[in-house]
Amino acid sequence: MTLKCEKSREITAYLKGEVPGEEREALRAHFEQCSSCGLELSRFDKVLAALGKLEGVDPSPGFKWRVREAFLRAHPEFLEAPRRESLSFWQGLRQQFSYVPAWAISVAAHVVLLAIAAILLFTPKSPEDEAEDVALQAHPRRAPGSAPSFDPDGRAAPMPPRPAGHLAPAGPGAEEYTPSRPSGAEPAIRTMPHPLRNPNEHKIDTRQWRERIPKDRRLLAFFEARGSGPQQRAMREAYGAQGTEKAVRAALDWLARRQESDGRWTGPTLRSEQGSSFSYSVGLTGLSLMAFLAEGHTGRDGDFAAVVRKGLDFLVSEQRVSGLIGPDQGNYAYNHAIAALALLEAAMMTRDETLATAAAAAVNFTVSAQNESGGWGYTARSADTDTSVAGWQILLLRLAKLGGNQGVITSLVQAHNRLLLLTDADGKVGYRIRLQYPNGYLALTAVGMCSHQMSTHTPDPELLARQAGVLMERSPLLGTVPADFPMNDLYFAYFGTLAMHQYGGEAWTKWYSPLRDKLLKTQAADGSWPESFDRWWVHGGQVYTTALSVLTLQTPVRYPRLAE
Amino acid sequence: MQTDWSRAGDAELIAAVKGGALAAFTQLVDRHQRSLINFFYHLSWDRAASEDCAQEVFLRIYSHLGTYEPQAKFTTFLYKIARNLWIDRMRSASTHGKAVSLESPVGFGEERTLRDRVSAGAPTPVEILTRQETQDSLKRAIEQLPEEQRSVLILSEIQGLKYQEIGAILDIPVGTVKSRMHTAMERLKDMLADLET
Repeated sequence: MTLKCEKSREITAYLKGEVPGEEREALRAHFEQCSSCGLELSRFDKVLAALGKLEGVDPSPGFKWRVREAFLRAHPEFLEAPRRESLSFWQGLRQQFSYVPAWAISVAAHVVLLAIAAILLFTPKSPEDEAEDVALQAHPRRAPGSAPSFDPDGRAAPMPPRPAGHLAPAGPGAEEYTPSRPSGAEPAIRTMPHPLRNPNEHKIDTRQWRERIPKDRRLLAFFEARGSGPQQRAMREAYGAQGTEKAVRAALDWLARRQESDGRWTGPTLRSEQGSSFSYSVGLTGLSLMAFLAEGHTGRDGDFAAVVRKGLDFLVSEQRVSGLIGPDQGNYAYNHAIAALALLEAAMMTRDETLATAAAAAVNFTVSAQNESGGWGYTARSADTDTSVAGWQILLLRLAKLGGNQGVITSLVQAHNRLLLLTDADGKVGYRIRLQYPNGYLALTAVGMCSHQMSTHTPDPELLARQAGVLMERSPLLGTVPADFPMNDLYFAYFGTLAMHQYGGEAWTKWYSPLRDKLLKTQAADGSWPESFDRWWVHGGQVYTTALSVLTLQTPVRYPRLAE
Repeated sequence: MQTDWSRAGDAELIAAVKGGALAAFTQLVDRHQRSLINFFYHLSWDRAASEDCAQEVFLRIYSHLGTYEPQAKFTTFLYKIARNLWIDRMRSASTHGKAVSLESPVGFGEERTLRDRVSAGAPTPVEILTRQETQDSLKRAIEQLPEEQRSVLILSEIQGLKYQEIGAILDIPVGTVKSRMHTAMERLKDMLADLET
């Protein structure tokens, strides 16, 4: 053992550059002369070099997102728009930094996506909504007296009262949802109830889902009795759909005539960005089949037996090994979920083994396609969560759960949590993120409301009341003459009707009756609805407008009210 | 419209988070996630645990904002929280049955030393360190260090912080940082030197 030079204690600091100028020079001179220090320095240098080669780790994919979600669970107040007191700071920053408007990103994304493969039911961006998006990003509140007032007949529509049986919130205004607040009042931060408010609670609680299994089995009987005369009649009478039978039958006749020889329904030929031609046959076939299934036509017997059988066979033949129905190219999530819904409904009605197997595989695909945030995008596990796409997947999973598939429970709980993050204080549901409404908030909120009802056994009654109020702001069908058809939004009508049917009460009547009348009024003599009846018709053509119109009419007999 | 927070400084992001800007918080996470995870990783060598700790730190940031001084470096604030969390975890592990002392090596028994890892007649230390397996050996050598030296070593060598900032993070004088760092280096050097004999 050799004695160390006292200066050797400075070696680490010297090598680390932690010794100031003059002292450093002096040390350097010493180390050059002192053999003991020179040797030590060499050894320390090697250790530092080795440490420099120590490998680190990269954050796992989604780490940032997980932190964000955990943060929101711990601080749900961040679900709200920025607080007032910070506005001046924000404005200051806006002068210093460049901005990327959210809607601009969304526009660009949508233009590209639509050019590739505008999804059957996807709503492309329209310029008139951009201003709305900007305004809503700032989280405006409606001023008193300025609440959107539209009903199908152009008169002011009051907010729907909460249906009987739902818990009424305490305090003034409990009976009705009032979207406005007193003039000049500081907007109160309203925080949506959140099931994961406790930041220490990371486990997914599925108890309520499992406790509901017996009730689900009773609801399953609904599908077995679908199409039976007494059930159909009773439901049509109970829910205001009496008088729609002939219109529905005419629409089914028309759809039957439009079926291709291989069992599919198809729409306009579109051109992808790569130049190839395609149409949304899988999704359109699913929509058309669901209209037949709603009336009890399962393909086994009856007037449309061959039509339905061929349609179901087509969908089964389109299923991939992964469970995906339809091509795995482009934005296929809509096609898959709609087709899967048709297969699942048929399987639940018939208990046919082939259909059940195909439907189960399709459901599994949807579960596996869910991204880690709990949402779905256009393609499997896409990080670009899309409320519209998710609406179909959630509906599918809920029906699968009714059918006894408990494997979907976790997926539904995650979807529900994700949905709450997208929902603002008024109940409006954002497209990819909260407060983002690239094509207006009505259709998205309709999808979101339906998804909320389908993704939990205990939907928040206050939230549903707010969402019902939002949906009642404007009729989905404004146009009854061709010049006004572009104002119609059948997608909004379809999901809005599903949601309002589940909501029930007086709101349901106010929603459905005028909608029903307008649909009956605009149906053509051959049973179809005009090709250009809807703002998005170019993607699905007349099969799309007719199928969505008749499905909207059929809503009262399609699904049971889960709360009853 | 959304602000492009990627160009904002840490202090501005913190101010925006105070004002309720979720995107600013996300930007902070984005900016510091890797270094923070690696801080814990080099203390624990457990990736999942490191991410768990890093997430906890990001959550604690918000509740500690009241103590943040805008003129101070954000990383000082960040690693202070991180170090405290690590100490908490160590103590928690200790009180839950794991005999862990802040002053003693963590994670390996006496029978698993660096010497045990490398048999007699092995290549020289420099050659060892150039090979993949030396990563493990070096990890184990670092784990032999007392926690207070390990923290200084990691903050300095892995995180690249200056002694002054490390002192602020650990609430110790710069001189203490310097001596702890040197002692840590001495120990590592000795462990490697032993292999030569």
